[in-house]
Amino acid sequence: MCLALGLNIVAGYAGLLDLGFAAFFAIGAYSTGLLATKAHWTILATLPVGVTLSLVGAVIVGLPTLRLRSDYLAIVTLGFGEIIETVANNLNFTGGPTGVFGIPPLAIGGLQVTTNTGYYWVFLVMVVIFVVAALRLRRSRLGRAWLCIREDEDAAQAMGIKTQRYKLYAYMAGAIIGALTGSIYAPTLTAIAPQSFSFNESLLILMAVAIGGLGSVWGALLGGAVVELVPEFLRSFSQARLLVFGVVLIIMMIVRPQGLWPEGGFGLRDLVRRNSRHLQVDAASVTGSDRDSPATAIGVRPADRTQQTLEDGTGSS
Amino acid sequence: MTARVAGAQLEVNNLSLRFGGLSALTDVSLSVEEGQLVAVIGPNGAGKTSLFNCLTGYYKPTGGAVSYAGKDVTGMSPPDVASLGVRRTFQNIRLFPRLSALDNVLAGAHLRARSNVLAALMGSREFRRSERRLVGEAERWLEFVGLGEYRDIRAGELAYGVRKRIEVARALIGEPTLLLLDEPAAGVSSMERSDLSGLIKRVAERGISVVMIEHDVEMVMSLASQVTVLDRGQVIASGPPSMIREDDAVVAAYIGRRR
Repeated sequence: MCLALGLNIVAGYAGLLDLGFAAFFAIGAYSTGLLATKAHWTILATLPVGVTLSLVGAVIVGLPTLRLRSDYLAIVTLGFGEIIETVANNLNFTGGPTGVFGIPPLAIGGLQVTTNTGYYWVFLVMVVIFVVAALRLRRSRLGRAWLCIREDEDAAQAMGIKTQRYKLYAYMAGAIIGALTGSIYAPTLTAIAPQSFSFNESLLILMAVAIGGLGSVWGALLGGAVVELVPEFLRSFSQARLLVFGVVLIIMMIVRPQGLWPEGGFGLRDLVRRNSRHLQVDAASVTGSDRDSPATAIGVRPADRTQQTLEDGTGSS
Repeated sequence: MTARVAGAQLEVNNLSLRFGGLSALTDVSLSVEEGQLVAVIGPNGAGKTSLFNCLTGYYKPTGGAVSYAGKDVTGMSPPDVASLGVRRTFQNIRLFPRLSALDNVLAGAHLRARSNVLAALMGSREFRRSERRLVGEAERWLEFVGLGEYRDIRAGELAYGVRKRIEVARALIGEPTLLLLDEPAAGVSSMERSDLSGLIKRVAERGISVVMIEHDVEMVMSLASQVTVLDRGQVIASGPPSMIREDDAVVAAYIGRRR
């Protein structure tokens, strides 16, 4: 869920297709794991290190590639994800394929978190913080610039938005959230291995964001929950459960491509609005206009405009 | 604010633009005084939009120079040109389709919004106040173009003429000193066309210099104080509307009389 919230800023807000998001997750987790086991740092003290390292990674990868169109960005981020996994797999320093184990528990002000319930609360707090941050950013200059870039990069430039810089900011914001999540995730498991940060993980996160609805904070939460929980519910299918999950996803994307909880809300607001439009059109027909074909309900709201739009046929374009 | 007093003057000198062997613009010169409304007309493919793209940084001209308020802007990037107070609209409307009308206008205020991310994250009182002020201003600009009631509707769902006017509002909230309008009346019904003329007139009355590309001759003749005619990338005539109407070269370019 935390990861979905992070990627939602990169992919949902700014429209950047990032296929290697797990890399930041890995950088956070490994920074924490290694510093805590080898240098005996407390977990909290390792957080800034993980964040800094992943920001460095984001800038190195992002600076040259964010000039490119999004397809190329997808390839480069995919490569970045692979590199991080391969490095973790092959360095002795990172424990190779066995990874890092014996990571001490998270301690906040002398209070050690050891139980699953404890970690549940920790993650809940993180989710709340990320949600508030994401929602507030959405309503700020930075968030608006991201949305504009996603919608139309050329037009965004005409507003004075330096699109390359803002794309980098989005990538960095995602990196911060990814690394923080990784740093807290490492002590939860007490052991981390490269497989946890593979391309599959990146895809799952992206899937969570897409299922929920790109750009929607609540959608990212919901999508994260779906991706985590649905395969568990499908355990009765045993071997075939991932297959079933895949089919469910395909069906969902056909039936509801905008995601479960898209940006504009559940679609309820649209429904209400559309109905109110019909009402206004009806009112117009009562007061004299005899052209109340369904076409008038599309695209134009106030009754006094409907007739005119019909005449020149620009109602929808 | 000071820029407005200092004077918005656009100076285009011998601008050329080539795409490989194709000359889109050749030696185009144009000058716009502060508060002046200039029209650029010409047949399809004459290079009008290419000219706009050169003026706003989307194309890098291959020759000549563009200066704005005494500052050389040749080859600057679009956001840098915008930061000097130049705003434009696009021929094919480039709104942000999935954002509401209000959010579209707010986007135009990008350079004027507070940029402190920490304040935004903390939701500080000062930040909220400045955002409220901007939203209020965006609402006023929507009213200015006569679209207050469309505030919360997504731009992509709105009618063509409405979207054209939202684009103007989005440009105006950026407090431009020079506004470039690329075919504001194209595809707009005759009724909305007179609304639009009135709107452009009101913009010019605010002291904003306007350059507009337009095919509607009547609109051009009634609004513009200077008209520049482009044909095949070259300026074939330039002057007040009454003179342009009589110009032989212009008539030939439009009607195709033998030269």
